[in-house]
Amino acid sequence: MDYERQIVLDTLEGSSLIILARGLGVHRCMLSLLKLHCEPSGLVLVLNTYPTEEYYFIEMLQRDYVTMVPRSVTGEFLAKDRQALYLKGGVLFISSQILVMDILRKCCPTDKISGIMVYHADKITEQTIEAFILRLYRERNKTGFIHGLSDCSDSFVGELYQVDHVMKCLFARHLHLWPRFHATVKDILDRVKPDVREIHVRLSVHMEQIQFSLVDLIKLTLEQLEKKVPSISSFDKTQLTVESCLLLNFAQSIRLQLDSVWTQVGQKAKSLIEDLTTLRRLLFSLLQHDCVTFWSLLKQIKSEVDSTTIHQSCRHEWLFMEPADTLISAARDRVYGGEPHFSKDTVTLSELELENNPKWSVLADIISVASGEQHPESAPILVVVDDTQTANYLEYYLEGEGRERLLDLYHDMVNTINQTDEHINRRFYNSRKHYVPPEKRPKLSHPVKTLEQCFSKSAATEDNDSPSSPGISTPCVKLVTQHNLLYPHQAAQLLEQTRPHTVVLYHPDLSWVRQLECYQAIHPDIQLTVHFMMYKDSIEEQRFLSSLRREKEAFECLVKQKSLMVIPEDREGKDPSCTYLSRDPSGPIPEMFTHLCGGRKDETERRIIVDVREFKSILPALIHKRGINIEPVTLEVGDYILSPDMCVERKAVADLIQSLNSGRLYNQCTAMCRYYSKPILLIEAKEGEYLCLDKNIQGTSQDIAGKLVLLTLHFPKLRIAWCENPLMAAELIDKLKKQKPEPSTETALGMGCDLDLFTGDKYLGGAGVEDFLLKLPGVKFRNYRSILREIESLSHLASLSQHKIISIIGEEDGTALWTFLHKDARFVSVEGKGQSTLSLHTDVRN
Amino acid sequence: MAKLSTEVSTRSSRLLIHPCQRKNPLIPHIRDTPWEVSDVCPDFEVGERSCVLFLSVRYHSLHPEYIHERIGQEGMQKYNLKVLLVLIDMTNVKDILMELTQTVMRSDLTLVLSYGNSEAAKYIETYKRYEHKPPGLIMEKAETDFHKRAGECLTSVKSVNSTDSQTLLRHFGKMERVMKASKTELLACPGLGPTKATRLHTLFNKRITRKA
Repeated sequence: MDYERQIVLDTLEGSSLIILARGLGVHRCMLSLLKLHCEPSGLVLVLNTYPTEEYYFIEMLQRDYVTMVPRSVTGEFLAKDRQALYLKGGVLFISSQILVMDILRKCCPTDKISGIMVYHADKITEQTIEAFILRLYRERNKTGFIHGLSDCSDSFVGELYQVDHVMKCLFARHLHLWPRFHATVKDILDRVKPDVREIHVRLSVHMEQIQFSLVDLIKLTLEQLEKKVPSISSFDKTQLTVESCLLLNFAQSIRLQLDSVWTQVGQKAKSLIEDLTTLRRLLFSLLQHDCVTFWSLLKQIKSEVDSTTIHQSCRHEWLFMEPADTLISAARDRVYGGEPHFSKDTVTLSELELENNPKWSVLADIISVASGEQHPESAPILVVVDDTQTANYLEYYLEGEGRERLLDLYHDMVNTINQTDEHINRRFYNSRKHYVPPEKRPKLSHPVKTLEQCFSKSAATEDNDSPSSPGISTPCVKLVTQHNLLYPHQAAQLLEQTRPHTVVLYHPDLSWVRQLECYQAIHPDIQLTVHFMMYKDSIEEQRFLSSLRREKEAFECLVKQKSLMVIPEDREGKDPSCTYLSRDPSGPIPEMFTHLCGGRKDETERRIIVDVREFKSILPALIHKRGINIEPVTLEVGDYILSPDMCVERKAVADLIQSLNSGRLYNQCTAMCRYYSKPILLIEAKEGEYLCLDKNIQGTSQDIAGKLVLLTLHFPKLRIAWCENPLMAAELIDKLKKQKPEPSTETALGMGCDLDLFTGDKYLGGAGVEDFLLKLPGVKFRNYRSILREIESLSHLASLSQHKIISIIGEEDGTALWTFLHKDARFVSVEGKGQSTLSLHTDVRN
Repeated sequence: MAKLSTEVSTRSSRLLIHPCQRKNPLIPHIRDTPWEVSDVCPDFEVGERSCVLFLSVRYHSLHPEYIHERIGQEGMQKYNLKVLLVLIDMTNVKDILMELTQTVMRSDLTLVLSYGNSEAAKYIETYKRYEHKPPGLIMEKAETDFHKRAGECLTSVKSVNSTDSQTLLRHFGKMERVMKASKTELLACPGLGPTKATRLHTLFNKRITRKA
């Protein structure tokens, strides 16, 4: 399409960030950009793609007969193979963690990279590995390009100057915005418009009542939450309104906002947040699911509350608020009809008055009308549904078994709730006389297919169905579950595969509307009809409109920012004097020891050895930024080696708690203290998190502060460094390293495997004799060496006598080890499975 | 004589507090540990060879030289574990924290932070209470169930899963026999392919080499 060509042309101007509106086909732009580079003459790396997307791009490019089909580089490739791949050129999809290591090890020829493309550019912040990679790349390569693509405009306006920050990370000089209201886009999409029929469905009276009370409950809960956590009001207020509850990412956003103070949030407030999530779930369930599912969900929550004791009673407090009564009675009425005094015993299935969702009959009407309309070929009718559960139900409904399905669900619900109540169960079985198991039911009218079916059998079924379809005049109906289409390309791919003429959007969704517009624009010959279903005056409508508005506002804000944006000359970092690339850490903090150190220039290259697993965190990047070189290796002991005698084990607060509880930290400290004279435990909090261990404890039973005390008592040599955030950690490491000799990689690698047992044999894949030995009962860190000295191999250990083992490691441990080795497994019952020893015996004989 | 010995024993079971700490607001929070003011060198003596020095960040920002004097005292030498308990009673302590960290590295102290008097008191009490406590609480908990334990051992070998480990145990009966089995014997187990069998066999029969 025209705007895609324009996007490709734009990129020739220099490094850029491209933001498209949702559904406009960011994947197609990526594809056309990639097409340019599938040649051995250059090397283009693509970051931040998911495996499914890589697969899609590769497949599409393969179909286009490009000169060189791109490859995905994953951990399966050995360093040597990767090096060869880099030299071959073309397009490579590569995981950031691998690339950063390859660049640091100089295994990747940075100067030969002709460009890097970053997909999902909205995910990039200064604190990501991708930003680190780009910095390393720019430092050594001044000519290549960097392009970022994204279709998530609203995530660029969350914070002040956020788009500017992202552009800085991408070294992007240009910002290209492609909103839906862009003249070119508008022009193309308006040329051929699909025939859109908006269908506003009214909610039933009960549903309206339920929706009202749920919104009321959310409002009340939010008010309470605000009272409980006053600090919440200091956050972005707009995020905490009823309206924001309707947006998709609400639960995460509230968690994110509170994350910094999460440890200080009381139990009550936490349960309130949980309640909000529950209420929101109910709200969606109301509009999406049938009355029985909704009722059983509600009942389940109620029974949870009934079963909890008074001490835990803070859960689901909303159930005791006033609107909850209306909610529950309305939900009950939807299942049992208006009769107020139905008790469970008297209900039979035939008496149940199950309310149908208003949309169902409308959908059936649409389909029957649409299948009556003449179409040139038997294209399927695509019904796009939000979730699998709805899709499942609709499948039954369209086959004319809606009520049976509801009764099934009802029966399941009653079954799970009164599992013990035999009497009622039998009554139900008796009253369900005409129950036919699903697989024996005769298939009626429309052949309905779910997405899974049409994806898995795609081509094959297509061929099989087409000849049979003309016989029956009705085209087949395809139910598509949107939850299965997570990535931008999947919806477009599906449309291309099925080529529908009629699409029913059962739930309103912005991205799909755009996808369909694009689909129509690409295929002007197809007369597309879109039925757009929406509950009138409902949360669904509000949610759709607000998502539309938010995107528009985001783009307007971006356009405004773009007009005011000041982009420095050296933004692309091609100038050697680029300030952003500078690794001089002389920040605003006056350095205390500068006079001792003398100038930085006199120093030789400073170096820190970092364990490869640490590259998940941002600290290595920050250390690198301070002018210290990073050397990634696989370390057995410690995470960072600052000098020959200084070794740091970094722990985020959550990790610290976890590893103190699991005992891992004890082992790590033992190892560090053995090999280094200055072992350091660096406790690193996240931004805004407190370093206070007392309040970080999630379950009250775990005394983390006490465990830390115990740790320091047993490792008096261990130094503890407390850092408020990664930035401080980097600065501290820099200062600690000052004037210390450089560490040696060979020595650091040798630490922890001086017995040549850990990695000596590559074929063992890491599990060494030492590992195995330490797992045996009675073998401890303090005594395993004495065992190793005495035995020739593990099988030798197995044949030692009890007496001999005791003589090596002592009475108690020795007995434990010997008994373990010589215990007959057949006479020890397997815990939890309740298998008798006898049955095990017969097993063996068979 | 007998009286003297009881005196000694009570003395060692008590938390000893330096006279200058008598007015420290954290003292009222020490409730569960008997303590007495004594003429010790550090602020708190929590064990025969372990002690705690207390420092408030606010005080330190006014008198930065104080803590260095305290650390440098000769009486501090005899302690094996010297804890610097820092009370964070100011905001924006990053620079002070950084400087203190460097100080503790140079003078071999262990830095512990607390955000309130009660928390600080709790640390001191815990140090006293855990004086002789073995590290069991923070060590890896050994699985006591035989099957699980054996499973843990065998699955530490790459690609051997828990089903394999159960099969092995059922087939051979004892760990000892699994470890002594030949490659053919291992291969006879259902589900064990040549890769797994070779890995296990190599592990069990690898000759242990010692560095000279």
